[in-house]
Amino acid sequence: MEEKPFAHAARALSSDHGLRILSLLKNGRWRIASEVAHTLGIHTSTASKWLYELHRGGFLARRTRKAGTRKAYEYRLGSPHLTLELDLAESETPLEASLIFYTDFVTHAIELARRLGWPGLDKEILARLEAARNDLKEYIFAGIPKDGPLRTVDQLKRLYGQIAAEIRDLCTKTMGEMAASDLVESAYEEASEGKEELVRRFHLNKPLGVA
Amino acid sequence: MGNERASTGIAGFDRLAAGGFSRGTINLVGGPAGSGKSLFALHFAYHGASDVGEPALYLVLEEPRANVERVMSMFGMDLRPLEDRRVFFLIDLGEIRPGGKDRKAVVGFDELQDFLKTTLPKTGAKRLVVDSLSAVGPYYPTPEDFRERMFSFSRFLRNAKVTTLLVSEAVEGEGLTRYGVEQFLADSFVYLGLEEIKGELRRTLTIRKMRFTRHDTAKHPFHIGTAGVDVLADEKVI
Repeated sequence: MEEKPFAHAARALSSDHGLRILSLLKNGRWRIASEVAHTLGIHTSTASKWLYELHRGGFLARRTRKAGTRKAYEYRLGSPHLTLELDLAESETPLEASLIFYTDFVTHAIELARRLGWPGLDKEILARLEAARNDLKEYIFAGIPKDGPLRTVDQLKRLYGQIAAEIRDLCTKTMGEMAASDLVESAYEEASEGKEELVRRFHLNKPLGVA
Repeated sequence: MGNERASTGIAGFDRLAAGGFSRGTINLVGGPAGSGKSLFALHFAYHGASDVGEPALYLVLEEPRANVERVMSMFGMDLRPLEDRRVFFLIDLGEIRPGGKDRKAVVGFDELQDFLKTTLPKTGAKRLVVDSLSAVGPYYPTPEDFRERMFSFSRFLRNAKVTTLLVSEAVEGEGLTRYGVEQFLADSFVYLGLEEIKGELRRTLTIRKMRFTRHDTAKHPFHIGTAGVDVLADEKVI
């Protein structure tokens, strides 16, 4: 289980009603919220809320029950044996490793521009990135922690696709399309050294426009 | 004559070449490793930028930029102020070579042309050095391909109204230039030799070809001293 569903499941189980609801549903019968509420002596909206949370946490199956024109969700426990697993290797590492890869890419691009010798090109790239993405640092560092907006590798790829496009555009205007492509490709090669498997698995090259 | 010629700043050579290279032409300096080709080219570029108001674009394809900076510093060519004034551009295209060690050549002529199409107008360069063609040649599978693309590149350079100096390394015992065609496409060909005389290596310079110019054709000695290349125009190697 990844971090987000795990957090939902843990929250639902640690609530006042989570385990009581699961115990009630352990016989495998489908129940709607009002039935659960009546049996446990709690308000229907409370039962409805925690049934939903337990469903999001992956403990309960859910289906729609139709009664005339009215519809309601009914829930049941799939198995009385519950397992809760958190795979940090699957949930955290790809995002963090991808961020390190992309940060390396930008660092290498700026360093190559400096070593290339075009006066001020490295500083121009930095200035362009700051102007175009002045919220970049905040976006990344506030975005990755829990409940931040940057939750997936795909979101990161979209962001760095824009950054790579900015670098490529500036270099093309300075020294032509082919040299710009060479610089981007060289920066990509340097950044992906030792991270080939990560790059291949998540197609991290694609947003950079390199094969 | 002065305005028609792009002087190199090497007084002895300029005397032999009626004042320097003809402006807007493509010139070739060739010779074996260690013969002073790059230093000759640096004189041409530096003198243009520093003394005669002709911005220079010097493309390094093989050596790291740091090595070229070191050579310039050794011979009293102060690069930094010229870079700050944006009249000397020392660009190390080898740095952005993708493909790492497996790539056979730095760039092809098409890539050079694409680069120059943008950078020549941007820099206002009147002098261009490509150092060296030895890094471009292996890009092409056959000498015919090399010749064909170089011909097209030459046409581009002529239209660019820039005085170009191409550097080409000769392999000793295998002809005057690496690919045997460079001198035919260039307007001039200056050969720097290294000859063993009485157990010592002597440097020589010969202008083997210079279109539109009454030039000296003798082989002259030259030295590399603290101020760089010094061609002894009054002396000949017999």
